[in-house]
Order: sequence, then structure tokens, then C-alpha cells
Amino acid sequence: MSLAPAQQHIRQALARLEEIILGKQDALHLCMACLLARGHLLIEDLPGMGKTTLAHALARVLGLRFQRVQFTSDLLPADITGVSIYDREDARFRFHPGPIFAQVLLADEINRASPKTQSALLEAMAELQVTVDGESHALPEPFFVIATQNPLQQIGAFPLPESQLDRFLMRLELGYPDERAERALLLGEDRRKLLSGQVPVLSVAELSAAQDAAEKTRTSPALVDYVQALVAATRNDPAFAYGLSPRAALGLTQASRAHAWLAGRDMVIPEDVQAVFPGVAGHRLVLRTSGRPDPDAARRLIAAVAIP
Amino acid sequence: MNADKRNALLLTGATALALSAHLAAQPLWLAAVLVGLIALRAAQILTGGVRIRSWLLLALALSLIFLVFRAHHTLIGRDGGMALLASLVTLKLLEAGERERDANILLLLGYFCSGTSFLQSQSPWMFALALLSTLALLACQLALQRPQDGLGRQLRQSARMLLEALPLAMLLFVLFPRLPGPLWRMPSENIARSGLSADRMEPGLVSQLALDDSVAFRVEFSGAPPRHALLYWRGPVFEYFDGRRWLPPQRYGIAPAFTATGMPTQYTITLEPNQQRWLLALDLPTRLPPGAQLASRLQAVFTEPVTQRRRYTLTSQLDWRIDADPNARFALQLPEDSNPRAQALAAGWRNLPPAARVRAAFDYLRNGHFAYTLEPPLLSGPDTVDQFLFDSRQGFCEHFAGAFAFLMRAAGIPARVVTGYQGGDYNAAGRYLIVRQADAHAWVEVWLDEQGWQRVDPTGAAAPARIETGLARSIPQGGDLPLMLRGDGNWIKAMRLQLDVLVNGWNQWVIGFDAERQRDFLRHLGIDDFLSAQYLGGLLGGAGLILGGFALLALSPRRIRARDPASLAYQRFCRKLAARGVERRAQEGPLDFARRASTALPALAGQIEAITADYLAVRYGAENARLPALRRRVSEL
Repeated sequence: MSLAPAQQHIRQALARLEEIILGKQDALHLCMACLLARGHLLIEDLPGMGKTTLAHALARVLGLRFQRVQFTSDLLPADITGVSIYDREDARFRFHPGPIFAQVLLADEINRASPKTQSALLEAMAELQVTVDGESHALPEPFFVIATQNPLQQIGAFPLPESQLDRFLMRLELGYPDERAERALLLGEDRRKLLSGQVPVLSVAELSAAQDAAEKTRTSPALVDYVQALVAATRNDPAFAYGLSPRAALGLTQASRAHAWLAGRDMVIPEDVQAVFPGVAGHRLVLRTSGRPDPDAARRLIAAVAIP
Repeated sequence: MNADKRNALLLTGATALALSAHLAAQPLWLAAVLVGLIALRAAQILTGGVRIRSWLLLALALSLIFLVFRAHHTLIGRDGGMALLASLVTLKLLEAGERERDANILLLLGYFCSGTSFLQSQSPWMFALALLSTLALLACQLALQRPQDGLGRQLRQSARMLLEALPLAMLLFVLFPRLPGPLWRMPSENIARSGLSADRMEPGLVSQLALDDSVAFRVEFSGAPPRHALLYWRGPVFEYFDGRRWLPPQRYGIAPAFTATGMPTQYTITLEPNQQRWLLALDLPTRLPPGAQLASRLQAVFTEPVTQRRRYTLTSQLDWRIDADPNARFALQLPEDSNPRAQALAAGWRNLPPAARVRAAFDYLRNGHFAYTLEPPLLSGPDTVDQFLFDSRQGFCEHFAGAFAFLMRAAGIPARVVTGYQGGDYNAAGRYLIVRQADAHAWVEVWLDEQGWQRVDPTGAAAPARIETGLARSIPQGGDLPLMLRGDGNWIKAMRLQLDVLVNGWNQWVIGFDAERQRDFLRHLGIDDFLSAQYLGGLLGGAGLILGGFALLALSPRRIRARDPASLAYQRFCRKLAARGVERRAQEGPLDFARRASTALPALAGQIEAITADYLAVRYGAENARLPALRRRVSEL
């Protein structure tokens, strides 16, 4: 199988990431697929699992501008978007862009901030622009948000409502590393040093070309049948409060395309859909009984829906 | 146009279609009234016009009942009853409002009307019409229940429903017990006798039939059919001449003994119902079907008139000889003073030997400038034979036969007129002979002492082509003949002959499948009685099999996937692997399955990988060019 140059560069970037984040190959693949599909990523995990390191490493390897915002309960929308401040010399207001004007934004512990601040970020994510004092400011390209969220039972958190969750293309859990990876981590170099030594493997233009190429991966009617069958299954299953939205179905298709492209294929096959489905659907499928997302639902659906 | 209007129009159209067979059976004026009322209904829907008041409807109903009575002189039975039904259904159309109940009643009436169409005719065309109107009514019913679907979809769906009903209908057609006779008496007794006249022969009677291209009977020969000139289908024989008309024999006796020589010809006749008793056997039948006998003038007759299409097998021998016939003496009767000029002519031949007298009369007709024509002048006088022989000299076969028999008797030779059919039209596509009413013919038999009865066909004197090839070639300007009787082989005629094969097959296999043939067929299957366990097992088991098959088909998960050619090949591949112990789960992706199968069957890993790559390329990559390779590889596995 011959790979296009863009595919080779992305592969290279993935290999670098795997050196830094040990033993998380699948999660890194999905993370990259999410980026290629122009979606945003929500990582839900306990502190210390390497979320920040992942975001940082991704930005470094891809040569993207990185910003991190630690969300707290007193964070205000303007703290993210930026403010207009009166400039004496020019005798007019001047916009001071906030941390959101980055290419990779790590919104750490997003569920600690007030809903008002959360929604400011999510609106910017959806519209790719920020409006302050009636003036619109476009966000840079590419714009990739990695939000992290602590598991919900922790005290003092504002869990994201379903409507906001829907804006994240994927939700991932990193989880504990396996024994071997953890051992390598303990024996190996300091991650921070490793990070600072990284040089980018591809340019912004190449990344954006890769995103375009991934979008063009062939999606046959037979595959759309399968996507629709999966989506229909979420809508018909009485266990769920509601099924996947059309936006989610679109996201599922785009993520599958990116996944296929990453694997070096020029067409999407059912395995791609199955690979991204838990990430895409997991946070959107809320159980009717508990009102919480069901971590196992996506896997159960994949095992139940026949491939047409 | 909104959906309600569309549906109402559709319902009107479908009902009209279901009524069309009944409308066609009405007198023109009554049909016109009913069609007008249907058109009124359509206009009412289109313009959203006012409803007709109920007292007006009542008046309309009463006057329609009166009109039906005027047309048929009864309100019951097939004709009156069907006309009444058609009229009242038409009125129901006018009366129907927006209510769903009205629509449902109309639909049921429509189904009933298309079913009762078969009382008018049981031809394949009627079947097609009934099928069409059932289809339209079904589409209407779907439109009323699911108005959001388009008309095309409704039609497609109703066609599918009809197709799905077909296996069960065929099973019931074959197995459901048939009654040995009709359930109620069909009014066939009232149908006029058709074809040959049984009670007299006079100038003009046969030529009336010459333009009638309807089928009299069809014949299948078990061997090669005899020559056209030998095909004399014997019908009524006339022996008594009253000066103008030839009448049936006055006295009956027994059939004379005859010796048949030559090759026996076996054939099967399918006779259209004509309310007559003649079998129309070839001269002379040596083996007759049960229920038939040979009468004194050698005509084969049934004991009962033929009221339904009848199929029977006969054997005839075309060469035969009779040495003595006591009936021959009746064949000299002549009224004393009739046709003096013809009597005088024949008297001149009296001193010749008998065979020479026959030849003399034949030569007289051949050389006397006689014309064979479809439109002979009307012979009005008392002495029609004289008029024909000496004045008009134009005639059809009955003129020639009548005059010749008269001359023979006047010359002292016993002679009689035989009517029947001559020739026929061979349908090569269906390998059978069609004999039409237009093939009706009359000829003469003369008694010669040494030779017995001899057939003489005086028409052959004036128009030899009539005997050799048929009517079409013997009429000089063939132009006025109906299409099916013309000799030239044009394509419409060829097409209609093909269609006749269909009609004949329909008659044989659908209409002809009566109680008797059903019993034979069931006996063939080993079922002797309708009350036996085998019969009930066959009926219920067959129905269960059909319904169960549909249920399986509808519930099968394969059915959805089976349409795509790549999927079909891949499913075959999966079945082959399943036979080797690696079964693919329906939810398993092709690559995952290939990985698992290769691990389980390392020997096949290469093939599995190639097939999976082909399948993925065709099904998900639209590379249809790889489909043949996929198929080949699956076959090779």
C-alpha cells in the first residue's frame, strides 16, 4: 500500500506521540482522527493520566500554537475570549485576544467553570469566531479544542449538559497505562524534557491539506447503510433517553473517513465505523434510567447491529 | 389538486374499470347513460360541485331500474341482474360523499364487479381486464390508507401484492374442489344457436356465414394433418326438397355398414359451444367419443346440444365404401312441378350411364360461366334452382350444392346435400387447425349402385381454389373479407394467429380444467377423494408451505443484503468458510473476520485476504471492475 506524503507525515507524527504517551496507541489514533475530521475532543479521566501531556505533545509535534486554560469556578468568559481595553495613545478601544486564539486549546477541567463560561467556549468552538463588543474576530486555522473533564461524581463541578456534549466530536478515556508502558514511563526520560525537545514534523498547510484529503475518502452507499443502521439502532433502543442526532451521524461519518485515511485506505469500511463509534456515540447516549451516559452502550450496539 | 380529490378521481376511475365489462354488455343507449353518470361524478369531483339531492337520486335509481327492465325484460338472472348491479354501482358513485365508509363500500363493490365480469366472458382478455381493475382498486385502497405515498408507489405495491397472492391462487385453482356442473344455471340456454343451420338449407344461408371470422372449432391432429382438399367436416345432412328449401330427412333409419380403408387419422376437436349436436367429424369417423353416435345419414351427433366448450378425440378414415344403404331410396324425392327448366335439362341425361350423368352435370356447372361469389343476387321466385342455373349464374356453395343435387335427382340418381365445414386455417405456431364459421360449406353426395355414396363438390366446378386452398383464394377481389379470412400473409394476421395460440392454451388449461380433469389430475397425484387425508394434507400443506416461505423470506436477515452482487459473492464465501468451521457473525467487519478466519485456517490465509480485499474494493470502494475477480476467487475457494 503506497501512502501519500501527507499520510506519511501524519504517521510520523503519530509515531512521535507514541514515544511520549506510552501504551495508548488506540487513543492516539482516535485523537488524530478527531483532529483530521475537524472535530473537538473531550477527554474524561482522573487527574494525572497524561491529558495535558497529550494535548501539549500534539501541538508540539504538529507545529501548532498551543494554549492552556485551567477552568475554575470563577473563570469569566472574557478570560478566555479576550477583552477590549481603551488605548490612550490611539484614543480608542483595542482588542486584546484571549487564550482562545490558539490552534490547539487545552481547556483543562472544563466542568469546573460556570455554565456561562463553558458556553462561551463552546460557542466559539461551533462558530470558529469570537465576538467581543459587537466585533467578530476569526479564530486561527486549524482550531482544535481538547477539553478535559473529571469524572462527574467529584464535588464542586458543573457537568456539561447534553446539548454541549454534542459539540464534541469524540470523547475518550485514557485510562491507566498497562504494566509494561508504565514501567517504561518510570524508567524513561522526563516527559517534559522529551516534549521540549520535539520539532514539528509537518506544517500548518500540510495539516490542512491532510484534513481535506481525509474528507475525500470514499464513502460508499453500502457504508452509509451501516452508519444509518447504527444510528437507527440508537433511536429505536428504548434503553436510551434519545438517539443520536443528525450532527452526530455526520460526525460519525467524518470520523470514520479520517480513521480510514489514517489507516492508509481510500475507502471507508465498517471496521472504521466500529473503531470510532464508541468515541463518537459514548457521551451522547444517555440512559433513560440513570440519566447518565452509558460507557458500554456503544460496544453493545456494535455487537448487535448487523453490517448490511 | 389535493390528495382527497385525487383519491376520489382514482376511485371513480377504478370503479369504472371494474364496471367496464358490464357496461360493454349493455345495449348502447343504456351504456351511454351509465357512462354519462360516471362522467358526471368525475365533473362533480373536479369542480367541487354540489351534491345531488337524495330525492333526485331516488328518482334516478327508479328510472335506471325501469331502463334496465326495458333493455333486458327482467331484473334478475345474468343479464338483468348484472345490468342492475352496474346501474346501482354507478349511482353509488354519485351518492358517495367524503366519508371513508362510502369509499370502502365502493371498493368492495368494485371487487365484486370485477369478479362477476367472468359471467360475461371467460376469455383471457377478460382475465386481463379483471386483473387490471383489481390492481387499480388495490392501489385505491392503498391510497386511502396511506395518502402520503405517490401513485406510482401505490401501483407498484399493489402489483407486488397481486404477485405475492399468485402462488396461493394457483394452488387453490388446482386443488380446490370443483363442482361437476355449474353452481347455478348459466343462461347459456338462451344463447342463439350459432354456425350451421340444422333445420334447413336454402340459398343465402351459408353465405351469411362467409364473413364471420369467429372460431367454430380447433383441431389438433396426432399425426400430419391431411390435405386441405380432404378436410370435409360433416355436419347436418339435408334430404327433403320442398321446391325451395332443403330440409332434414323425413324418416330416420339406422346407419349403414361401411368398410373403411386407408390410414386412420386421429385428431382432437375443441368445439366452441354452439347449442347444436354435430361432432363435425371428418368423413367418416370410425371411433367416436363416449356420448356420441353415428346417425343414419352418417353424421356423428351428441345426445345433448353442446352448451359449453367441449373437447373430444376421434378417429376417422378418409377412404370408405358403402355397399348397401336402405336410406338411399329417400334421396330421389322431388316435388313434381318445381323448376321445370332444370328438370328438362336433367331429363336429357337420363339415357346416359349413372357415372356419366354425374359428370355431365358437373361439366355443365364448370363450362356454363358460373361465378362463385360472396354476394349472390337474391333469388326470389318459386323456382330458385331454375333462376340460378339459367338466369343469375352466380352463387355461393349452397347454390351450387342445391342445384346439383336437384339435377341429380331429376336425372334419376339419388343425391343429398351435406353441410359442414371445409378446410381450415393451419396455425403453425400452435400446431393446430382453426376452423372458422366462414369455412362453412355445402356439398353433395350421390348414390352410384356399384360404388355407394360418392362425394361430389359442385363448388369445385366453378371455383376449384375454394376446395384446394380455402375461401380467400377463390374470391376474385378478396378485399371485402374480414382480415382473418384474407389469404395474404400480412403481419397482423400472423400476430393474431399467435394470439389465438394463447387463447387456445387458455381454453385448454384454464377454462378446460373442469371437475373431470381435476379428478384425473388428483388421481395422478395419488389422491382419490376430497375427504381423504392426502387431499387435506396437500391443500393445507401447500398453503402452509407458500405462506411459510413468504414469512421466512420476509424475516430473513439475508434478504436485505442479498441484492448487491458483491454481497452475494461474499455471502457465498462466508458460507464456504462456515462449512470449514469459521462462521462470520453478522456484526463482524470483513477485515476482522478475515483476520480471525486466517488465524483459524492458516492454509487459506492468502485466499481469504485476496477475497476480502476484492470485496472491500467492490462494495466500499466502488471498484466494480474487481467483481469478476471476486466471483472467480470465491468459486475457486
